[in-house]
Amino acid sequence: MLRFVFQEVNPELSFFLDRLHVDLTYYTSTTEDLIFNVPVSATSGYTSTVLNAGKTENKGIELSLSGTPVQTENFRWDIGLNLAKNKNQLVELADGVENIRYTSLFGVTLEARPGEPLGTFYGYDFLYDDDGNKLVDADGYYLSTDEVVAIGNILADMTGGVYTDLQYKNLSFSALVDFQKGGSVHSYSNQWGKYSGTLAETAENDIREEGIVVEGMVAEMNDDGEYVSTGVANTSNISAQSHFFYNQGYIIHAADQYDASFIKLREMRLDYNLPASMTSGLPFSNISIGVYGRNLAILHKNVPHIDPEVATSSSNIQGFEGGQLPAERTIGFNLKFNL
Amino acid sequence: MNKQIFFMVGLIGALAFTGCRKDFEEINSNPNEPTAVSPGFLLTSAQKATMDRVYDSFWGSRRAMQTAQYWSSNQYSNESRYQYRDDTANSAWASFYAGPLQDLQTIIDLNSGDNAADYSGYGDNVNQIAVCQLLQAWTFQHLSDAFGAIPMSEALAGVSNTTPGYDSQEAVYNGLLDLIDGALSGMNVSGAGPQGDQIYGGDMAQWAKFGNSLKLRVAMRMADVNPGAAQAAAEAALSSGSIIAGNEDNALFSYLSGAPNNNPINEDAKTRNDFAASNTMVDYLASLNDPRMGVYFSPSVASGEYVGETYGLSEENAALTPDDAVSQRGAGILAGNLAGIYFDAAQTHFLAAEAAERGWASILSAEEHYNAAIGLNMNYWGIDDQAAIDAYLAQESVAYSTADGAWNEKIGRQKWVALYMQGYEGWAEYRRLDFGLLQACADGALQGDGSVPARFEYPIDEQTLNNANWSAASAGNSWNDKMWWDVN
Repeated sequence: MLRFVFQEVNPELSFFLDRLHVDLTYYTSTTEDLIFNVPVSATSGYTSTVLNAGKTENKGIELSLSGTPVQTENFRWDIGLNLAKNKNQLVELADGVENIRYTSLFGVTLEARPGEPLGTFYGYDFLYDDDGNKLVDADGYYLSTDEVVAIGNILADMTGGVYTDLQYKNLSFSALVDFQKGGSVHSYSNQWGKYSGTLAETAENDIREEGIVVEGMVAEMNDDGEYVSTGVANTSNISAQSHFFYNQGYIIHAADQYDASFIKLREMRLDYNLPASMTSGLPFSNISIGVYGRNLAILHKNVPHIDPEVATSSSNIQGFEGGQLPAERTIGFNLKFNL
Repeated sequence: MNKQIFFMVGLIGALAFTGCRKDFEEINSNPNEPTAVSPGFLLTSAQKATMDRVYDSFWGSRRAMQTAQYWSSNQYSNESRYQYRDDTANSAWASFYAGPLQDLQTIIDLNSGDNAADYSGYGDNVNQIAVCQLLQAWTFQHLSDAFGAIPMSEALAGVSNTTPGYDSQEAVYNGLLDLIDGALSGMNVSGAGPQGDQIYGGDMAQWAKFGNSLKLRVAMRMADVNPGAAQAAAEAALSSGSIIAGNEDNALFSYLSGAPNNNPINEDAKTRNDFAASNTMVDYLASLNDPRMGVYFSPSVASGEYVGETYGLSEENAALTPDDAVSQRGAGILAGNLAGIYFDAAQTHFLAAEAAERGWASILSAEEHYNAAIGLNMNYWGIDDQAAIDAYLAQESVAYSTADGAWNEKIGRQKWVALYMQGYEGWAEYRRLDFGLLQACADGALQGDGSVPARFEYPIDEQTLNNANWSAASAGNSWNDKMWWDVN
């Protein structure tokens, strides 16, 4: 049995003769006894068990602003903004369960661990010095952590969108831009594309002919067995093939873990209602014609080659992208009429 | 009207009586998804799944066949330079424990529980248990020789222990001897053997031979670190009178020519060719004029000669060698019906030769066992010309009295040749007998200190799913930390 506790504070305000609406929601919710298929060590003889396990907490704010800045007899402009920020945390799991693994692919795992948000990626990361420089070994290859560490999370920090709607006489225009800030995606298209040399960057700057000296500080192992920077920048050249194998996500998983933020022009449409005077002799009424487009452009993103949004789904298993088909751009034409 | 009332009453009655069924559970059970399975099916599945993994292209070919330097890489050469993919350890570990080991445990539990009598129709309870214990012992040794300490005494307990502790390799080996002794003393050789047995068809006398031979192997592997216990166990096995002495006794899993019951190597080779003969193996066989060359490998298409691909090339350099320029694996090796080897007679004789050298009570002299082992292995690979075998054995470089080096090197080198297609055993005996031959990776090792790895790293899965026990076991477990039994 899954239990759910929800608390909400929801002031809803309207100002200026209903020309401005503010809707603010603050909520906290706690979900207990989640039903999980929990992977267990195969040495038990089984690879998973079904448990009522754990408690998660969601805290968030949702803000919706909408208004009509201009309204005259022939012209009306509506604009709206909505923002949602949610903070998720797995508070606890069942006794004896340290973590729940959703899935694992090429060494990267997606897990739920107490203290972290649900859906955290674990894998090997680069080693860094205190100034944030990557550490490089004596042969010119990046060093990686000994153990898997958290390298990203599927959940966005904030999502939202802006819409606008303009009407002048019989002509109307609307547009919607939406965005996601934060969240993380592991891209196998990038990983294998670099590994196999099919992406443009594997041939740019004469890297195949001349190799590459990666940016980072040469490290050496201290007496405690930890790598520390020597303070000397790397000068060792390695071949492109070695670079795109050892320095990329197949060996150092964090190398192909990307920020999933985006801003998209989601929709635009333009409609024209034919005036009644033009249609009076026809057997139709309320005729409108229009054009619309959806998924028109990605205005900003931080991951090369792919659309970061395609790796999302409604299940626990998400955030892995590989050989995706891009979202379709749809452009269409509308004709509406009443009989 | 009356008819209608009668009908309504009948309908109401029918609904009333069907509303609460007593066979609720029965009609809600799916007959196409049985929750119980006959032990015979489990045994067949366990025997096949074990060999499927041992001959799998990642766990078998990429890791063991290359680490033992039988094969080199045409492409994706990283494993041959000791950079092993994490996923291979994850999937092998999970498939052994949650596959055959658990299936065998289920058979043992069914035959020792309160309802054991219900299962005696599938073979005597004690015999089903004994065969499963012997196969579990085989698999635990396989895993331990790859990883070192492994969960064994606390493993396979299902939900009652989802984070089993690791037994030290010493505890594993002592446990293996107990498991094998328990099986040997528990079995009833004149009783009915288990159904579903694809190895010996339920012949318990053969299983007794397998048990004693496996005991000999386990004992010999610990000979340098615990000679007292090793000698006692080895002498007991050698004097049992029941041991795999001829090829007719070999414990083999017979694959068929066609999918899905063909050898995984055959299936893999249908769509890709990532491996070639290694120059380590080809050069050594050539130096001995070894007649097994033509079975193990095919001549290079370009030259018609046997040419090994240099071992341990970088990806770039491996890609430069055309397939036609080097020897590929022999036609029989790539055949669908290549048998999976659990144990063969040549191994028994090499072990018996070693026992004699160690001054333990063996059966024949070291030299006689050495010659028998080589001859039996030739026979196994289809070389039956006794004159050719005798000529081979008479060569100065092969003859036991004149071959170079101490006994561990003489036996070790020939045993390595004979253990072709048993990559894990070839690698284990290299580590234990220190016979040389294996060379440094031509383009350098990518992990460890450059020597042949002493062990594999544990699967990443254990870091996340069994962290406390994994961390205790993995301290001091890196590529070049030797096995408990590897003290020389």
